[in-house]
Amino acid sequence: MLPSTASRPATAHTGQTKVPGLFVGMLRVFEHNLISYRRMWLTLASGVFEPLMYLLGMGYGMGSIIGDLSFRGDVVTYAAFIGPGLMASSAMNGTLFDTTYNFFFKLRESRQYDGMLVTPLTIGGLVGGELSWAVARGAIYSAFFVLTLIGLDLAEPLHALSAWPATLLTGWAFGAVGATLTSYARAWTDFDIMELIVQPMFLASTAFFPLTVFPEWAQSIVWATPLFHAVDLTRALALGTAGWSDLVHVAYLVVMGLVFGVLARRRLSRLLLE
Amino acid sequence: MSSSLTASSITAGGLARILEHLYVRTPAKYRSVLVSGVVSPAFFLGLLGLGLGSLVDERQNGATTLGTDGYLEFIGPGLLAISAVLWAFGQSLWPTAGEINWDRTYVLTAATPVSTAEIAVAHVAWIAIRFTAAAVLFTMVLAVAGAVASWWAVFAPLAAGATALVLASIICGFTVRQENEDTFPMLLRLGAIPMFLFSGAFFPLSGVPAAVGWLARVTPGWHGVELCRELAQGSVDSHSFVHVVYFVVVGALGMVYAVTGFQQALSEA
Repeated sequence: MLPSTASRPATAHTGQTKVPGLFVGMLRVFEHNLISYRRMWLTLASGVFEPLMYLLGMGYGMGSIIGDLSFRGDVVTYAAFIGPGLMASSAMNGTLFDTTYNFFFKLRESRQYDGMLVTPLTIGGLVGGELSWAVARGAIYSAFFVLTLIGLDLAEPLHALSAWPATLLTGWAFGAVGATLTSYARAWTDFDIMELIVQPMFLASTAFFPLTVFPEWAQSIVWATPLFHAVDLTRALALGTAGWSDLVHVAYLVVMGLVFGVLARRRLSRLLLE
Repeated sequence: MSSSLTASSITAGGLARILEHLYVRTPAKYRSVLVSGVVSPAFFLGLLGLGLGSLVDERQNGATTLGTDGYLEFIGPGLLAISAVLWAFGQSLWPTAGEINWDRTYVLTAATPVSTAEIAVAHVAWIAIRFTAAAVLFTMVLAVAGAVASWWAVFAPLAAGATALVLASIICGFTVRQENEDTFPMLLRLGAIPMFLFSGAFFPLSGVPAAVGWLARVTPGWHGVELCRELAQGSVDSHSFVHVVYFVVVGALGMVYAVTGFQQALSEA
Protein backbone atom coordinates (compact mmCIF):
# COMPACT_ATOMS: atom_id res chain seq x y z
CA MET A 1 0.00 0.00 0.00
CA LEU A 2 1.19 3.50 -0.79
CA PRO A 3 1.99 5.63 2.22
CA SER A 4 -0.44 8.30 1.09
CA THR A 5 -3.40 5.97 1.52
CA ALA A 6 -2.33 5.06 5.02
CA SER A 7 -4.07 8.03 6.56
CA ARG A 8 -7.78 7.89 6.27
CA PRO A 9 -9.50 10.26 3.84
CA ALA A 10 -11.88 11.66 6.42
CA THR A 11 -14.37 13.19 4.07
CA ALA A 12 -13.89 11.12 0.95
CA HIS A 13 -16.75 8.71 1.37
CA THR A 14 -19.19 10.47 3.64
CA GLY A 15 -22.15 11.27 1.50
CA GLN A 16 -21.55 8.42 -0.93
CA THR A 17 -21.19 5.51 1.48
CA LYS A 18 -23.29 4.82 4.52
CA VAL A 19 -21.09 4.65 7.63
CA PRO A 20 -22.06 1.48 9.49
CA GLY A 21 -23.16 1.70 13.10
CA LEU A 22 -20.81 0.61 15.85
CA PHE A 23 -22.36 -2.82 16.16
CA VAL A 24 -22.39 -3.56 12.45
CA GLY A 25 -18.75 -2.46 12.20
CA MET A 26 -17.78 -4.72 15.08
CA LEU A 27 -19.60 -7.59 13.42
CA ARG A 28 -17.72 -7.06 10.15
CA VAL A 29 -14.35 -7.08 11.91
CA PHE A 30 -15.38 -10.18 13.83
CA GLU A 31 -16.41 -11.89 10.61
CA HIS A 32 -13.11 -10.94 9.00
CA ASN A 33 -11.22 -12.65 11.82
CA LEU A 34 -13.46 -15.69 11.61
CA ILE A 35 -12.66 -16.10 7.93
CA SER A 36 -8.95 -15.50 8.24
CA TYR A 37 -8.65 -17.96 11.12
CA ARG A 38 -10.58 -20.68 9.32
CA ARG A 39 -7.38 -22.19 7.97
CA MET A 40 -5.74 -22.06 11.36
CA TRP A 41 -8.18 -24.19 13.31
CA LEU A 42 -5.39 -26.56 14.29
CA THR A 43 -3.44 -23.74 15.91
CA LEU A 44 -6.63 -22.63 17.67
CA ALA A 45 -7.44 -26.16 18.79
CA SER A 46 -3.96 -26.77 20.17
CA GLY A 47 -4.47 -23.70 22.39
CA VAL A 48 -6.72 -25.89 24.53
CA PHE A 49 -3.80 -28.19 25.13
CA GLU A 50 -1.58 -25.86 27.15
CA PRO A 51 -3.86 -25.10 30.12
CA LEU A 52 -4.89 -28.76 30.15
CA MET A 53 -1.24 -29.79 30.48
CA TYR A 54 -0.80 -27.33 33.33
CA LEU A 55 -3.88 -28.72 35.04
CA LEU A 56 -2.76 -32.32 34.72
CA GLY A 57 0.88 -31.66 35.55
CA MET A 58 0.53 -29.20 38.36
CA GLY A 59 -2.85 -30.45 39.61
CA TYR A 60 -1.96 -34.10 39.94
CA GLY A 61 1.86 -34.00 39.98
CA MET A 62 2.11 -31.14 42.45
CA GLY A 63 -1.00 -32.49 44.17
CA SER A 64 0.91 -35.69 44.96
CA ILE A 65 3.24 -33.75 47.27
CA ILE A 66 0.75 -31.16 48.55
CA GLY A 67 -2.48 -33.06 49.14
CA ASP A 68 -5.66 -31.16 49.93
CA LEU A 69 -6.08 -27.43 50.52
CA SER A 70 -8.81 -25.45 52.14
CA PHE A 71 -10.60 -22.59 50.35
CA ARG A 72 -13.06 -20.52 52.41
CA GLY A 73 -13.48 -23.41 54.81
CA ASP A 74 -14.04 -26.10 52.16
CA VAL A 75 -11.35 -28.74 51.87
CA VAL A 76 -10.64 -29.56 48.20
CA THR A 77 -8.01 -31.55 46.31
CA TYR A 78 -5.06 -29.60 44.94
CA ALA A 79 -6.28 -30.16 41.36
CA ALA A 80 -9.72 -28.76 42.27
CA PHE A 81 -7.98 -25.79 43.88
CA ILE A 82 -5.77 -24.81 40.96
CA GLY A 83 -8.24 -25.77 38.18
CA PRO A 84 -10.30 -22.55 38.38
CA GLY A 85 -7.11 -20.55 39.02
CA LEU A 86 -5.58 -21.82 35.78
CA MET A 87 -8.87 -21.22 33.98
CA ALA A 88 -8.79 -17.55 34.99
CA SER A 89 -5.08 -17.22 34.15
CA SER A 90 -5.55 -18.73 30.71
CA ALA A 91 -8.49 -16.36 30.09
CA MET A 92 -6.12 -13.49 30.88
CA ASN A 93 -3.26 -14.88 28.77
CA GLY A 94 -5.46 -15.57 25.76
CA THR A 95 -6.82 -12.07 25.27
CA LEU A 96 -3.77 -10.27 26.60
CA PHE A 97 -1.51 -11.93 24.05
CA ASP A 98 -4.06 -11.58 21.29
CA THR A 99 -4.46 -7.85 21.89
CA THR A 100 -0.74 -7.24 22.19
CA TYR A 101 1.28 -9.41 19.81
CA ASN A 102 -1.47 -9.93 17.23
CA PHE A 103 -2.75 -6.33 17.43
CA PHE A 104 0.77 -4.97 17.19
CA PHE A 105 1.45 -7.05 14.11
CA LYS A 106 -1.68 -5.72 12.39
CA LEU A 107 -1.02 -2.18 13.58
CA ARG A 108 2.69 -1.84 12.73
CA GLU A 109 3.87 -4.71 10.54
CA SER A 110 1.10 -5.72 8.17
CA ARG A 111 -0.62 -2.33 8.57
CA GLN A 112 -3.91 -4.13 8.18
CA TYR A 113 -5.77 -1.56 10.29
CA ASP A 114 -4.82 1.27 7.93
CA GLY A 115 -6.40 -0.69 5.12
CA MET A 116 -9.51 -1.52 7.11
CA LEU A 117 -10.03 2.12 8.05
CA VAL A 118 -10.04 3.21 4.41
CA THR A 119 -13.42 1.48 4.29
CA PRO A 120 -16.41 3.08 6.07
CA LEU A 121 -15.45 1.19 9.24
CA THR A 122 -15.17 3.42 12.33
CA ILE A 123 -12.42 3.21 14.92
CA GLY A 124 -14.97 2.11 17.53
CA GLY A 125 -16.07 -0.73 15.26
CA LEU A 126 -12.47 -1.74 14.69
CA VAL A 127 -11.41 -1.79 18.34
CA GLY A 128 -14.72 -3.31 19.47
CA GLY A 129 -14.65 -5.97 16.76
CA GLU A 130 -11.05 -6.97 17.43
CA LEU A 131 -11.64 -7.08 21.17
CA SER A 132 -14.82 -9.14 20.84
CA TRP A 133 -12.98 -11.60 18.59
CA ALA A 134 -10.27 -11.96 21.23
CA VAL A 135 -12.89 -12.49 23.93
CA ALA A 136 -14.79 -15.00 21.79
CA ARG A 137 -11.65 -17.06 21.23
CA GLY A 138 -11.00 -16.99 24.95
CA ALA A 139 -14.62 -18.02 25.58
CA ILE A 140 -14.13 -21.17 23.51
CA TYR A 141 -11.00 -22.08 25.46
CA SER A 142 -12.76 -21.38 28.75
CA ALA A 143 -15.67 -23.56 27.69
CA PHE A 144 -13.24 -26.46 27.16
CA PHE A 145 -11.81 -25.72 30.56
CA VAL A 146 -15.30 -25.87 32.12
CA LEU A 147 -15.89 -29.24 30.45
CA THR A 148 -12.52 -30.47 31.73
CA LEU A 149 -13.32 -29.44 35.30
CA ILE A 150 -16.63 -31.30 35.05
CA GLY A 151 -15.10 -34.31 33.29
CA LEU A 152 -12.33 -34.70 35.88
CA ASP A 153 -14.88 -34.20 38.65
CA LEU A 154 -13.04 -31.13 39.94
CA ALA A 155 -16.23 -29.04 40.22
CA GLU A 156 -20.01 -29.50 40.32
CA PRO A 157 -21.33 -29.07 36.75
CA LEU A 158 -23.53 -26.06 37.59
CA HIS A 159 -20.82 -24.39 39.62
CA ALA A 160 -18.28 -24.90 36.84
CA LEU A 161 -20.73 -23.40 34.35
CA SER A 162 -21.30 -20.40 36.60
CA ALA A 163 -17.56 -19.67 36.47
CA TRP A 164 -17.62 -19.37 32.68
CA PRO A 165 -18.96 -15.76 32.55
CA ALA A 166 -16.25 -14.75 35.02
CA THR A 167 -13.60 -15.82 32.50
CA LEU A 168 -15.30 -13.73 29.81
CA LEU A 169 -15.18 -10.71 32.09
CA THR A 170 -11.52 -11.48 32.81
CA GLY A 171 -10.70 -11.84 29.12
CA TRP A 172 -12.45 -8.60 28.19
CA ALA A 173 -10.83 -6.59 31.00
CA PHE A 174 -7.30 -7.80 30.17
CA GLY A 175 -7.97 -7.42 26.45
CA ALA A 176 -8.67 -3.72 27.00
CA VAL A 177 -5.39 -3.39 28.91
CA GLY A 178 -3.55 -5.23 26.12
CA ALA A 179 -4.98 -2.96 23.41
CA THR A 180 -3.87 0.08 25.42
CA LEU A 181 -0.36 -1.31 25.87
CA THR A 182 -0.17 -1.99 22.12
CA SER A 183 -1.00 1.64 21.39
CA TYR A 184 1.99 2.71 23.50
CA ALA A 185 4.43 0.04 22.25
CA ARG A 186 7.12 1.23 19.85
CA ALA A 187 8.80 -2.11 19.14
CA TRP A 188 8.31 -5.83 19.75
CA THR A 189 10.82 -5.74 22.58
CA ASP A 190 8.56 -3.36 24.54
CA PHE A 191 6.34 -6.36 25.27
CA ASP A 192 9.22 -7.97 27.20
CA ILE A 193 8.40 -5.50 29.94
CA MET A 194 4.80 -6.66 29.94
CA GLU A 195 5.92 -10.27 30.28
CA LEU A 196 8.15 -9.33 33.19
CA ILE A 197 5.06 -8.01 34.97
CA VAL A 198 2.64 -10.74 33.90
CA GLN A 199 4.83 -13.66 34.95
CA PRO A 200 5.26 -12.78 38.66
CA MET A 201 1.61 -11.68 38.75
CA PHE A 202 0.62 -15.13 37.43
CA LEU A 203 2.81 -16.95 39.96
CA ALA A 204 1.59 -14.79 42.86
CA SER A 205 -2.07 -14.61 41.78
CA THR A 206 -3.10 -17.40 44.21
CA ALA A 207 -3.64 -19.67 41.20
CA PHE A 208 -1.11 -22.06 42.77
CA PHE A 209 -1.43 -21.44 46.50
CA PRO A 210 -3.75 -19.54 48.86
CA LEU A 211 -3.23 -15.89 49.77
CA THR A 212 -2.57 -16.81 53.41
CA VAL A 213 0.82 -18.27 52.43
CA PHE A 214 2.10 -14.71 51.90
CA PRO A 215 3.20 -12.47 54.77
CA GLU A 216 0.66 -9.69 55.41
CA TRP A 217 2.51 -6.92 53.59
CA ALA A 218 2.70 -9.08 50.48
CA GLN A 219 -0.96 -10.05 50.72
CA SER A 220 -2.05 -6.47 50.10
CA ILE A 221 0.22 -6.23 47.05
CA VAL A 222 -1.26 -9.43 45.62
CA TRP A 223 -4.77 -8.17 46.41
CA ALA A 224 -4.11 -5.06 44.33
CA THR A 225 -3.29 -7.05 41.16
CA PRO A 226 -6.13 -7.70 38.69
CA LEU A 227 -5.34 -11.39 38.20
CA PHE A 228 -5.91 -12.07 41.90
CA HIS A 229 -9.50 -10.81 41.54
CA ALA A 230 -10.05 -12.90 38.43
CA VAL A 231 -8.66 -16.05 40.10
CA ASP A 232 -10.54 -15.58 43.37
CA LEU A 233 -13.83 -14.85 41.60
CA THR A 234 -13.51 -17.82 39.23
CA ARG A 235 -12.54 -20.16 42.07
CA ALA A 236 -15.37 -18.99 44.35
CA LEU A 237 -17.89 -19.65 41.57
CA ALA A 238 -16.41 -22.99 40.49
CA LEU A 239 -16.23 -24.29 44.04
CA GLY A 240 -19.70 -22.96 44.85
CA THR A 241 -18.63 -20.65 47.65
CA ALA A 242 -19.33 -17.32 45.97
CA GLY A 243 -21.06 -14.61 48.00
CA TRP A 244 -21.98 -10.94 47.75
CA SER A 245 -18.47 -9.88 48.75
CA ASP A 246 -17.21 -11.31 45.45
CA LEU A 247 -18.88 -8.36 43.73
CA VAL A 248 -15.71 -6.46 44.70
CA HIS A 249 -13.84 -8.67 42.21
CA VAL A 250 -16.47 -8.04 39.54
CA ALA A 251 -16.33 -4.29 40.16
CA TYR A 252 -12.51 -4.25 39.95
CA LEU A 253 -12.54 -6.03 36.59
CA VAL A 254 -15.43 -3.99 35.15
CA VAL A 255 -13.75 -0.70 36.06
CA MET A 256 -10.44 -1.89 34.64
CA GLY A 257 -12.08 -2.96 31.37
CA LEU A 258 -14.01 0.30 30.99
CA VAL A 259 -11.11 2.60 31.81
CA PHE A 260 -8.66 0.82 29.53
CA GLY A 261 -11.29 0.25 26.83
CA VAL A 262 -11.90 4.01 26.57
CA LEU A 263 -8.17 4.71 26.72
CA ALA A 264 -7.41 2.15 23.99
CA ARG A 265 -10.08 3.59 21.71
CA ARG A 266 -8.77 7.12 22.20
CA ARG A 267 -5.11 6.16 21.75
CA LEU A 268 -5.74 4.03 18.68
CA SER A 269 -7.90 6.64 17.01
CA ARG A 270 -5.09 9.15 17.52
CA LEU A 271 -2.57 6.69 16.06
CA LEU A 272 -4.62 5.58 13.10
CA LEU A 273 -6.64 8.61 12.11
CA GLU A 274 -4.21 11.48 12.61
CA MET B 1 30.93 -23.15 -5.13
CA SER B 2 33.95 -23.38 -2.91
CA SER B 3 31.83 -24.24 0.11
CA SER B 4 30.71 -27.50 -1.50
CA LEU B 5 34.28 -28.82 -1.29
CA THR B 6 34.51 -28.09 2.41
CA ALA B 7 30.85 -28.43 3.31
CA SER B 8 31.40 -30.95 6.07
CA SER B 9 34.83 -29.98 7.40
CA ILE B 10 34.85 -28.36 10.81
CA THR B 11 37.86 -26.39 11.95
CA ALA B 12 38.37 -24.39 15.11
CA GLY B 13 39.21 -21.33 13.04
CA GLY B 14 35.97 -21.50 11.08
CA LEU B 15 33.88 -21.96 14.21
CA ALA B 16 35.65 -19.09 15.95
CA ARG B 17 35.01 -16.81 12.99
CA ILE B 18 31.25 -17.51 12.95
CA LEU B 19 30.99 -17.23 16.74
CA GLU B 20 32.79 -13.91 16.62
CA HIS B 21 30.35 -12.75 13.95
CA LEU B 22 27.38 -13.88 16.07
CA TYR B 23 28.86 -12.22 19.15
CA VAL B 24 29.33 -8.89 17.42
CA ARG B 25 26.03 -8.97 15.61
CA THR B 26 23.46 -10.27 18.14
CA PRO B 27 21.34 -7.29 19.18
CA ALA B 28 20.58 -6.90 22.90
CA LYS B 29 22.73 -9.98 23.44
CA TYR B 30 22.46 -9.97 27.19
CA ARG B 31 18.89 -8.89 27.75
CA SER B 32 16.96 -11.84 26.39
CA VAL B 33 19.22 -14.47 27.92
CA LEU B 34 19.20 -12.70 31.28
CA VAL B 35 15.41 -12.64 31.26
CA SER B 36 15.11 -16.32 30.27
CA GLY B 37 18.03 -17.62 32.28
CA VAL B 38 18.04 -15.50 35.41
CA VAL B 39 15.05 -13.19 35.96
CA SER B 40 12.28 -15.57 34.98
CA PRO B 41 13.58 -18.58 36.95
CA ALA B 42 14.20 -16.22 39.88
CA PHE B 43 10.47 -15.34 39.86
CA PHE B 44 9.64 -19.04 39.96
CA LEU B 45 12.21 -19.60 42.71
CA GLY B 46 10.87 -16.76 44.83
CA LEU B 47 7.16 -17.36 44.37
CA LEU B 48 6.90 -21.12 43.91
CA GLY B 49 10.08 -22.12 45.81
CA LEU B 50 9.17 -20.09 48.85
CA GLY B 51 5.36 -19.74 48.55
CA LEU B 52 4.38 -23.17 47.32
CA GLY B 53 7.45 -24.53 49.12
CA SER B 54 6.10 -23.52 52.52
CA LEU B 55 3.03 -25.66 51.82
CA VAL B 56 5.02 -28.60 50.48
CA ASP B 57 7.45 -28.57 53.40
CA GLU B 58 4.55 -28.44 55.86
CA ARG B 59 2.88 -31.45 54.19
CA GLN B 60 6.02 -33.46 53.45
CA ASN B 61 7.50 -32.82 56.89
CA GLY B 62 10.40 -35.26 56.95
CA ALA B 63 9.14 -37.55 54.16
CA THR B 64 11.72 -38.69 51.62
CA THR B 65 9.59 -38.28 48.47
CA LEU B 66 11.57 -35.26 47.29
CA GLY B 67 15.02 -36.59 48.10
CA THR B 68 16.11 -33.14 49.27
CA ASP B 69 15.90 -31.33 52.61
CA GLY B 70 13.16 -29.02 51.44
CA TYR B 71 11.21 -27.86 48.39
CA LEU B 72 13.52 -24.92 47.70
CA GLU B 73 16.47 -27.30 47.26
CA PHE B 74 14.26 -29.47 45.06
CA ILE B 75 12.88 -26.84 42.69
CA GLY B 76 15.99 -24.59 42.53
CA PRO B 77 18.31 -26.76 40.39
CA GLY B 78 15.25 -27.99 38.46
CA LEU B 79 14.50 -24.41 37.40
CA LEU B 80 18.07 -24.04 36.18
CA ALA B 81 17.62 -27.00 33.84
CA ILE B 82 14.13 -26.24 32.55
CA SER B 83 14.97 -22.65 31.79
CA ALA B 84 17.58 -24.22 29.49
CA VAL B 85 14.77 -26.20 27.88
CA LEU B 86 12.63 -23.10 27.30
CA TRP B 87 15.62 -21.09 26.04
CA ALA B 88 16.57 -23.84 23.57
CA PHE B 89 13.01 -23.99 22.20
CA GLY B 90 12.79 -20.19 22.06
CA GLN B 91 16.06 -19.74 20.17
CA SER B 92 15.86 -22.75 17.87
CA LEU B 93 12.51 -22.02 16.19
CA TRP B 94 11.74 -18.52 14.88
CA PRO B 95 15.19 -16.93 15.39
CA THR B 96 16.87 -19.88 13.65
CA ALA B 97 14.41 -19.90 10.76
CA GLY B 98 15.00 -16.16 10.46
CA GLU B 99 18.72 -16.58 9.86
CA ILE B 100 18.01 -18.74 6.84
CA ASN B 101 14.66 -17.60 5.45
CA TRP B 102 14.26 -13.93 6.30
CA ASP B 103 17.54 -12.21 7.14
CA ARG B 104 19.32 -14.83 5.04
CA THR B 105 22.53 -14.09 6.93
CA TYR B 106 23.69 -17.69 6.74
CA VAL B 107 23.03 -17.83 3.02
CA LEU B 108 25.67 -15.12 2.68
CA THR B 109 27.94 -16.74 5.28
CA ALA B 110 27.85 -19.98 3.31
CA ALA B 111 29.31 -18.17 0.30
CA THR B 112 32.49 -17.41 2.29
CA PRO B 113 35.22 -20.01 2.95
CA VAL B 114 33.52 -21.30 6.14
CA SER B 115 31.68 -24.59 5.74
CA THR B 116 27.95 -25.14 6.27
CA ALA B 117 28.84 -27.69 8.97
CA GLU B 118 30.73 -24.98 10.81
CA ILE B 119 27.76 -22.65 10.51
CA ALA B 120 25.44 -25.29 11.98
CA VAL B 121 27.72 -26.17 14.90
CA ALA B 122 28.51 -22.53 15.70
CA HIS B 123 24.82 -21.59 15.53
CA VAL B 124 23.84 -24.30 18.02
CA ALA B 125 26.88 -23.60 20.21
CA TRP B 126 26.05 -19.88 20.35
CA ILE B 127 22.61 -20.71 21.78
CA ALA B 128 24.22 -22.88 24.48
CA ILE B 129 27.12 -20.53 25.27
CA ARG B 130 24.82 -17.59 26.00
CA PHE B 131 22.68 -19.74 28.22
CA THR B 132 25.66 -21.13 30.13
CA ALA B 133 26.75 -17.59 30.96
CA ALA B 134 23.31 -16.80 32.38
CA ALA B 135 23.29 -20.15 34.19
CA VAL B 136 26.44 -19.14 36.10
CA LEU B 137 24.53 -16.14 37.44
CA PHE B 138 21.43 -18.14 38.31
CA THR B 139 23.55 -20.75 40.12
CA MET B 140 24.88 -17.90 42.26
CA VAL B 141 21.27 -16.85 42.93
CA LEU B 142 20.54 -20.43 43.99
CA ALA B 143 23.54 -20.43 46.31
CA VAL B 144 22.49 -17.16 47.93
CA ALA B 145 18.91 -18.44 48.30
CA GLY B 146 20.23 -21.54 50.06
CA ALA B 147 19.17 -24.01 47.38
CA VAL B 148 22.70 -25.39 46.92
CA ALA B 149 24.39 -27.86 49.28
CA SER B 150 27.70 -28.72 47.62
CA TRP B 151 30.67 -27.33 45.71
CA TRP B 152 29.76 -29.73 42.91
CA ALA B 153 27.25 -26.99 42.04
CA VAL B 154 29.99 -25.13 40.15
CA PHE B 155 29.41 -27.69 37.37
CA ALA B 156 25.64 -27.12 37.34
CA PRO B 157 25.84 -24.30 34.73
CA LEU B 158 27.68 -26.71 32.42
CA ALA B 159 24.98 -29.34 32.90
CA ALA B 160 22.32 -26.73 32.11
CA GLY B 161 24.36 -25.56 29.11
CA ALA B 162 24.58 -29.17 27.89
CA THR B 163 20.80 -29.47 28.20
CA ALA B 164 20.41 -26.38 26.02
CA LEU B 165 23.03 -27.63 23.53
CA VAL B 166 21.50 -31.08 23.05
CA LEU B 167 17.98 -29.77 22.72
CA ALA B 168 18.98 -26.86 20.46
CA SER B 169 20.80 -29.22 18.07
CA ILE B 170 17.68 -31.37 17.68
CA ILE B 171 15.22 -28.46 17.35
CA CYS B 172 17.46 -26.49 14.97
CA GLY B 173 17.74 -29.64 12.84
CA PHE B 174 13.94 -29.74 12.79
CA THR B 175 13.54 -26.01 12.10
CA VAL B 176 15.83 -25.85 9.07
CA ARG B 177 13.90 -28.72 7.48
CA GLN B 178 10.56 -26.87 7.68
CA GLU B 179 9.03 -25.11 4.69
CA ASN B 180 7.42 -22.45 6.89
CA GLU B 181 6.74 -21.62 10.54
CA ASP B 182 3.29 -23.19 10.75
CA THR B 183 4.54 -26.18 12.73
CA PHE B 184 6.33 -24.08 15.36
CA PRO B 185 3.41 -23.29 17.69
CA MET B 186 2.51 -26.99 17.72
CA LEU B 187 6.06 -27.95 18.67
CA LEU B 188 5.95 -25.47 21.54
CA ARG B 189 2.66 -26.85 22.79
CA LEU B 190 3.42 -30.53 22.30
CA GLY B 191 7.15 -30.34 23.10
CA ALA B 192 8.15 -27.38 25.22
CA ILE B 193 5.16 -27.20 27.57
CA PRO B 194 5.06 -30.92 28.48
CA MET B 195 8.86 -30.99 28.89
CA PHE B 196 8.67 -27.89 31.10
CA LEU B 197 6.00 -29.44 33.33
CA PHE B 198 6.99 -33.12 33.34
CA SER B 199 10.79 -33.05 33.60
CA GLY B 200 10.59 -33.43 37.35
CA ALA B 201 11.56 -29.84 38.12
CA PHE B 202 8.36 -29.01 40.04
CA PHE B 203 7.38 -32.41 41.42
CA PRO B 204 8.89 -35.90 41.49
CA LEU B 205 7.80 -38.16 38.63
CA SER B 206 6.49 -40.63 41.21
CA GLY B 207 3.41 -38.37 41.24
CA VAL B 208 2.45 -39.01 37.61
CA PRO B 209 1.27 -42.16 35.76
CA ALA B 210 4.19 -44.54 35.06
CA ALA B 211 3.88 -44.19 31.28
CA VAL B 212 4.22 -40.40 31.48
CA GLY B 213 7.20 -40.85 33.78
CA TRP B 214 9.02 -43.15 31.35
CA LEU B 215 8.29 -40.87 28.44
CA ALA B 216 9.76 -37.98 30.43
CA ARG B 217 12.91 -39.98 31.21
CA VAL B 218 14.01 -40.10 27.56
CA THR B 219 13.95 -36.29 27.20
CA PRO B 220 16.97 -34.01 27.66
CA GLY B 221 14.83 -31.99 30.09
CA TRP B 222 14.63 -34.80 32.66
CA HIS B 223 18.35 -35.65 32.39
CA GLY B 224 19.17 -31.97 32.81
CA VAL B 225 16.96 -31.58 35.86
CA GLU B 226 18.35 -34.71 37.51
CA LEU B 227 21.99 -33.87 36.78
CA CYS B 228 21.63 -30.26 37.97
CA ARG B 229 19.95 -31.47 41.16
CA GLU B 230 22.61 -34.12 41.82
CA LEU B 231 25.33 -31.51 41.36
CA ALA B 232 23.59 -28.92 43.55
CA GLN B 233 23.04 -31.54 46.25
CA GLY B 234 26.50 -33.06 45.90
CA SER B 235 24.89 -36.50 45.47
CA VAL B 236 27.01 -37.29 42.42
CA ASP B 237 27.11 -41.03 41.63
CA SER B 238 26.77 -43.52 38.76
CA HIS B 239 23.38 -41.98 37.88
CA SER B 240 25.13 -38.72 37.13
CA PHE B 241 27.46 -40.58 34.79
CA VAL B 242 24.45 -41.97 32.90
CA HIS B 243 23.20 -38.42 32.34
CA VAL B 244 26.61 -37.36 30.99
CA VAL B 245 26.69 -40.34 28.61
CA TYR B 246 23.13 -39.48 27.49
CA PHE B 247 24.17 -35.90 26.71
CA VAL B 248 27.24 -37.01 24.75
CA VAL B 249 25.40 -39.61 22.67
CA VAL B 250 22.17 -37.69 22.03
CA GLY B 251 24.15 -34.47 21.55
CA ALA B 252 26.30 -36.09 18.86
CA LEU B 253 23.24 -37.47 17.06
CA GLY B 254 21.49 -34.10 17.39
CA MET B 255 24.50 -32.30 15.95
CA VAL B 256 24.58 -34.62 12.93
CA TYR B 257 20.86 -33.95 12.44
CA ALA B 258 21.48 -30.18 12.66
CA VAL B 259 24.50 -30.23 10.32
CA THR B 260 22.75 -32.28 7.61
CA GLY B 261 19.70 -30.03 7.94
CA PHE B 262 21.74 -26.85 7.51
CA GLN B 263 23.57 -28.35 4.52
CA GLN B 264 20.25 -29.21 2.89
CA ALA B 265 18.67 -25.82 3.66
CA LEU B 266 21.67 -23.73 2.60
CA SER B 267 22.26 -25.63 -0.63
CA GLU B 268 18.65 -24.95 -1.61
CA ALA B 269 18.54 -21.33 -0.45
